[in-house]
Amino acid sequence: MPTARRARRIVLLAAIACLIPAGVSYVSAMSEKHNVGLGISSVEWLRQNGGNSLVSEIENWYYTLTAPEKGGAPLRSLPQVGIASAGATTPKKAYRPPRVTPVIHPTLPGEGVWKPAAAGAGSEPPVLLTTFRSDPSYPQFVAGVAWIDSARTRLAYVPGLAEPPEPLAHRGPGEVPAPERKRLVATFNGGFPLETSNAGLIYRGQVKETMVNGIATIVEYRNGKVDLIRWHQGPGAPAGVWFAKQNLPPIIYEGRLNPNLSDGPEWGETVNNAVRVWRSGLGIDRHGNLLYAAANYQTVESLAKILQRAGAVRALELDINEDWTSFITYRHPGALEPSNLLPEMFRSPERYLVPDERDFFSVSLRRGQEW
Amino acid sequence: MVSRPRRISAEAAARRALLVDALCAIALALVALTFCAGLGIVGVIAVLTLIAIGLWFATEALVHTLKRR
Repeated sequence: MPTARRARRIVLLAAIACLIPAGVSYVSAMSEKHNVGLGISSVEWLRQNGGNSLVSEIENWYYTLTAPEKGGAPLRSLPQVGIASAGATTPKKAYRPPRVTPVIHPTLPGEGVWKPAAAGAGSEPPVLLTTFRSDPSYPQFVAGVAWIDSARTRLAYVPGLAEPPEPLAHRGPGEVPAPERKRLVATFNGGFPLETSNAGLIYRGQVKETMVNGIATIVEYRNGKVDLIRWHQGPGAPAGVWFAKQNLPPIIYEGRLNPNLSDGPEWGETVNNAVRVWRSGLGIDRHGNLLYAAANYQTVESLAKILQRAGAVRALELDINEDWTSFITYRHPGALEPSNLLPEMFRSPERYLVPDERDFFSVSLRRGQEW
Repeated sequence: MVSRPRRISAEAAARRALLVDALCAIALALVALTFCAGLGIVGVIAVLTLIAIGLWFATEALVHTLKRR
């Protein structure tokens, strides 16, 4: 047999030998419980098995090729979010955020105006929603923002079925547990998978992934207080911390945009910061209330500007891409009538009421707070 | 002492060559599985390799068919 054919036979047999363990791993992963399609699950399997750089490169290439054009016909209306009801009346006691100052003029009806997320939420709704056009160069893009009253609500970190991958004693079902749905007002996506964010995690007071100094961190203390900080407390779990989820450097800190929002290894193994994709972020206002923002076709910088305009003084980027970006509110007690923050959000509003691969956050009314 | 037979049939030589090639392939696969970043990358490269070899076979068959004509 000619040498070339023998070499071909060797390579063919080697490829088949390599495919056996890879195939077993793939089939095993695909046969696990999923609430995403085979395509997304396959990409996730590839990411988790050494293909993260490859996937990111393909994503960069794809999103660069399909980047949106600047300009375009002006919008005539904004998507309807929240409940247009008496709940939008001026409150008398509690702090309410001011209207988000529109960027583009003339403004559209309801632009930047906060509306309650739930029906019958009274004069102090725990979650308010708004939309506005955030970028004059792209007047067709609409950002969705949610404001969460920290005095009335409690944030919880919920592990997904596969993320975080570390063994957890209390992983849970990967969805909002049934007993907690009665008080559930909102759920939203978590950060990047730990393996791509080079960040840490404290869950139920225990370090599950070593904490990293300098990284933006959502912290819940044992007394129920939630904060968004730049972590400087070392690799371990301080006594008062119940959970701490890190994700990349802060994009806003002490009211100012991070001056280094361009690309670099500190921003994780993912698509470039300047690539326009679905992005989401979480901020905190000067009164300690949380702000969530998400929109399609955002860079990290434009996302940071959305959060800053909405009132965030500190903020971090959460997960990106249409497959992972979700903010869902529940219009009635018992997690009834779930609704996405923006109508074009890809995932079902039922997402966190069934087991999900990735970790997420749930927002529930505190004990003593009623709808 | 068993001496090597002087004449080896074509079938036996082919079997020996196949055994050597299989051992080489296993060694190559072990190297790939050891040094690649993960099973995902190994799988992708293996699939691409199979496609390339499949095209090679197909091209050979096509050339063979054309020559016959």
